Amino acid sequence: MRAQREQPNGESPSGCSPADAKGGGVSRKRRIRDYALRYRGELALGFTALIATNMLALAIPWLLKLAVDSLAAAEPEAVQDARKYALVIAGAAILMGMIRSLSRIWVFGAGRRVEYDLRNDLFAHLAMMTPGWFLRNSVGDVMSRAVNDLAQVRLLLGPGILNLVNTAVAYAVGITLMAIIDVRLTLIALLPYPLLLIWIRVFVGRLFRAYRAVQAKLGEISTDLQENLAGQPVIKCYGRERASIAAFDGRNDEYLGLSLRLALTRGLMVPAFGLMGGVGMLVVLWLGGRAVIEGRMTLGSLVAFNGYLALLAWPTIALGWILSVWQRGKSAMERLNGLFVARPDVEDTGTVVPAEIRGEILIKDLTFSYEDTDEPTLSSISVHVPAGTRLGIVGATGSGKSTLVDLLPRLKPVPPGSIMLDGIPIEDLPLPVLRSAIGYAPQTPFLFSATLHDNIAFARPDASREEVREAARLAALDDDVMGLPRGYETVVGERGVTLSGGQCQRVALARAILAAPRVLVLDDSLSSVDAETESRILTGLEKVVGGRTSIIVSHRIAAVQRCDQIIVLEGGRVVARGTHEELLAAGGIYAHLWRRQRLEADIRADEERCTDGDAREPVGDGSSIGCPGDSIPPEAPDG
Amino acid sequence: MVEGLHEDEKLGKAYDSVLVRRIWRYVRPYRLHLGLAFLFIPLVAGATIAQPYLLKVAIDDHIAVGDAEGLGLVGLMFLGALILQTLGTFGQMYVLQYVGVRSMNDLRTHVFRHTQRLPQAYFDKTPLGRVMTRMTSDVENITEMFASGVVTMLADLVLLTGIVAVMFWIDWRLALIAMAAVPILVVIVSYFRVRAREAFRLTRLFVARINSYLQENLSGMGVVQAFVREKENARRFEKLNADFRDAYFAAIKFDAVLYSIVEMIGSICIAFIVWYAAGSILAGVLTFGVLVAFIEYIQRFFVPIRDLAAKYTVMQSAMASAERVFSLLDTATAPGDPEAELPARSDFKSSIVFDKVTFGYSPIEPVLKDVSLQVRKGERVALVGATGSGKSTIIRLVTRMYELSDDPATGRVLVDGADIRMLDPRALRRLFSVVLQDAFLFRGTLATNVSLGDPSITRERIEAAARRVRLDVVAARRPGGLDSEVGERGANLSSGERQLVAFARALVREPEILILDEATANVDSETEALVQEGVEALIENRTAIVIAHRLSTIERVDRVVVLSGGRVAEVGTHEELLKKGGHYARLYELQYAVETGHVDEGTERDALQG
Repeated sequence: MRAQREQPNGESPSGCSPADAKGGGVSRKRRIRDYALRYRGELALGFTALIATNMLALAIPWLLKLAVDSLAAAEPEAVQDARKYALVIAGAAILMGMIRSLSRIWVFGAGRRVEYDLRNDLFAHLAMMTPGWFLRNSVGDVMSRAVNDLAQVRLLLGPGILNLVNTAVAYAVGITLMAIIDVRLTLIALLPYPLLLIWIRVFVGRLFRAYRAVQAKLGEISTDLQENLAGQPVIKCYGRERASIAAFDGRNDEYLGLSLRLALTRGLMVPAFGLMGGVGMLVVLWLGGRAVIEGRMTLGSLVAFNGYLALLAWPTIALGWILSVWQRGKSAMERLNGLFVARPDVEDTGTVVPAEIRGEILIKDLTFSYEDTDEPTLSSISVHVPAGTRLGIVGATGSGKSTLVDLLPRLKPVPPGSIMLDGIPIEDLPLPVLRSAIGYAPQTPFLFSATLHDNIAFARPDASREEVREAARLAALDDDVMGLPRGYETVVGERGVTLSGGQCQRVALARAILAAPRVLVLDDSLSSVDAETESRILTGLEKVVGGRTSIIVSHRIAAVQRCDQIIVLEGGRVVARGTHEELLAAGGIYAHLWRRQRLEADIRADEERCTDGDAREPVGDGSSIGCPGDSIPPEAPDG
Repeated sequence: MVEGLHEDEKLGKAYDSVLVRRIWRYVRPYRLHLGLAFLFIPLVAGATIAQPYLLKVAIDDHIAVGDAEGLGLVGLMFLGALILQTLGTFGQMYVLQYVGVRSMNDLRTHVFRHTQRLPQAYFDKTPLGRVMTRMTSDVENITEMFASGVVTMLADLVLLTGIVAVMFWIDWRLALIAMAAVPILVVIVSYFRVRAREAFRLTRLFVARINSYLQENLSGMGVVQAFVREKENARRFEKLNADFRDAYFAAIKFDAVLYSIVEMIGSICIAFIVWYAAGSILAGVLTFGVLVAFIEYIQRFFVPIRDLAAKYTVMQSAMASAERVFSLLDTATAPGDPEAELPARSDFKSSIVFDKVTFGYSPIEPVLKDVSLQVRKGERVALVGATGSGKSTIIRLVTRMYELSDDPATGRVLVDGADIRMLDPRALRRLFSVVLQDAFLFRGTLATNVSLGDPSITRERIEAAARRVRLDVVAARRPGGLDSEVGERGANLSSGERQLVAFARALVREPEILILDEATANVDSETEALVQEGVEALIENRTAIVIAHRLSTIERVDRVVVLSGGRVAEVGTHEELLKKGGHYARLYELQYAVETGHVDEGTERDALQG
């Protein structure tokens, strides 16, 4: 079979045992064959059943022939014989119905099981990729492969394989039986087949191309549309509606043209079925009829011959389809392999498992640059955070604060030996050990479409309601949640209630708190929360933090001023360090910031005096509705 | 288990007369084509039914009596029927799809035109993806109904009726026997069809869940990894995946049984006929030709019955999509006709006046409270205030991006003494050039982004405007100059560069009034210098309303309006307000600190900007 030729690297088949491939977490090519072989039992049963079904289907015309011949010969026992054949036909039909059901269940089932395995493996594989990888490779593209290409592979392994076996058996057995009846007639009746095959093949190719062209144009329309809808303020302000309608009409007309071409191709394709069966019947009628008149053939044989031709029509049509399914399935698997061969930026190679983690962090001469830039984002950073102490990090946007804290849980590749946890280089720790030790609340929170309870209990799905509430209380979230009609059972995210930016951040914080880590990292994670609430939260946290190490990144001095040490980042370098008092005394950026934030607080106090409510303006882009809300739910493709 | 059904997954009625009537409006222009498709129906049915009958004639009248001559003629007639059937089927298929594609193309165009009339408020509230789905996959779903929906169901019905009629005409007793299995078939098919449909509906639901779970996890992979949830989420994914697989197993079972039973009953019918024919043929009351014709008819009878289930589902999803598309079309539009010729530009004569305006985006939260202010012709006014103080709202109201008409809005906005609600919004907007905070760029070139495809704006004017706002410096840095490519949303330009493009776009139109919402994003110092020059060129000798974040801009305007909590707190020149030592003085001090100290975006945003 075709799949055998896909062997990419001559790996021994033993390397692909089900247990091994099940892991999914290895960056290597996958082969359709290996997945199919896992279900060789079902497939073997399915193929056997398919062969049996086809045999039975092909037996029916022969039984008809026997019945007609005995009636035509007008033998004394003719009626009894013909009725006997009728009973056998009925029996064969019932048997065939049962076996055909089973064959479809087994073969389609195997296809679905492979789809299931492939999808799980894909998920497991993608779960190793860093967030940066998804930025580079676009979630949309990955989704399209996971949805469309996977469906193509499944189509190959289910209906594709089923029709292939069907066609093979029908051809082999059907043509043999026809030849037994009359070789010459068989040859003549099959004469148009190669021609028709080519015709169908060409049309399937054209159909596929026409379909692709329509899809591509639809893609263009979508891109235009997206741009037009997002750019509505500009279009409206400058009165460009007419021009954009004209542009859309142009594209839409192109789409119309392509759609009509597709319709034409589709229209030409379908009647081929009728023509196929009909041409055979015509041959039987003309030549077969003559043969019966001349006594070279019985009437029963004519009937049977006619039946066989009808049975061959569908497999011939299907052949063109099978070829295109096979091609598409193979190239879809290649695209999936494009994902499967991707290596994670951060590999889980650590083996040192300490008995206990204290939370001492040592950053030693850390220099980090992103792949696509020459300028290092972080240069020679050295910080020592003794276990149980608090480090504050202050700096402008782009100074490298977020990059620095992303490196701690190795969400980005860390230069070896530059960050130690309890004296162990973090790359020597298994990722789950390292990451469980760190509770991380990012500036841009990400909530899942799940209940608030599940979102907070993200790190510990088994946490009790009381534990979740306690974490929420510490994050000053409990009152907000209790104000919701369904409380902690409120579904948030894409398909649920939309929370404010500050509420989202507090959910993320509660999530980090509940993880009960040795090291708590807050990456400006209260930027959308007002200053008073922030300080209330931080004070509350201090009490429970206990021996926990904390790293607090903030643009508000008030948030870091009580830290044991504070570093000021600028352009990826530490430009100042010390305690709050030391830094204030030293002047510089820190002191500037402090003065400015004091002023701000005064202004805010002013505002509150002359404002009776806190009004919000909508943000200009529809995508900013919910906090995780800019992802569009994928359309459900038909299974 | 099926709770939380997504809007896009609901399947309901396969036929809804209100929706069908609305769809009909788009089909009506092609009713002649549709009529043609109906003409093909009896043609195809006739040609199909004729074939087994011709077979009967051939066997009984020619083969059985040894008449080889006549056989040729019957063969020719058979060939004719075959060609008619093929052409007819093709014609029917093509015409139906033609009508579908054409009429749904019209629908898509209509929906697009409708979106161009929707108020900005709609776009601010609705995820773009939802609007796009209406115009793409939903319209596609309705189109599919034409190719394999209601008309083909009708064609099948005609064919079935024809077959039954011919069978009864040839031999009613044999026909009764052949049809004996039909009631059983109907019962079995409807039993399994309902279950198969329900099972397939479940699979669609599950696949939607799998895909949104996957999408969410890919987008939030950082969080998943930081909290070591890979295994647990993979487990949950496997669970969803298994639900989907198992739902499919159920669907496969019903489908396989349905498929096989239809075929089985067909063969059993043949067995019945043979049983009955055995006696009759020998008794001379039945011919071989009739037997063969009946076998043929029965083989053609059962396939359309089996396909009914699939067609029913197509209809259901078309109806669900139609409902969503029409609900978008029912959304109220903003005033003004965007398809009319752009109104001629009128002169700005005297002033813009906000007269005791109270306005909010939601009824309970007014954003502007009793705001009154006046901008005279030639005057340059800066709006200053914290986030949420209402600066941007003033701009949205004066350009009628939002309408001052809904509760709790009160007051009036007047341009040259006329209430703007009385003006054509597009005529009103012709007075303004608006530079929004987020300089939105379209795919194309720098030049097309300046002209926005307006053919009346010459190349010379584009170049002149580019020079005045210093876009020429940006263009010179890029291959192709003003004709260099701009990617989606201007992704290949820095935010400062994008602003300069928006400046040129505004200036090239030599507007009566310039409205500028200064961007807050930091730009590098070199571009910052260009942007400052650009702002200067923009507001030079022109009526201007500027939401100002730069000291350099504020110092250039005639008057500063300080907003606080939706009210006008202070009004005066920069110097006056500084001297006064109030709200503005504090803001200024803060701004001054920013510009002399080191810039931190977060803090900056909280202070002056919005």
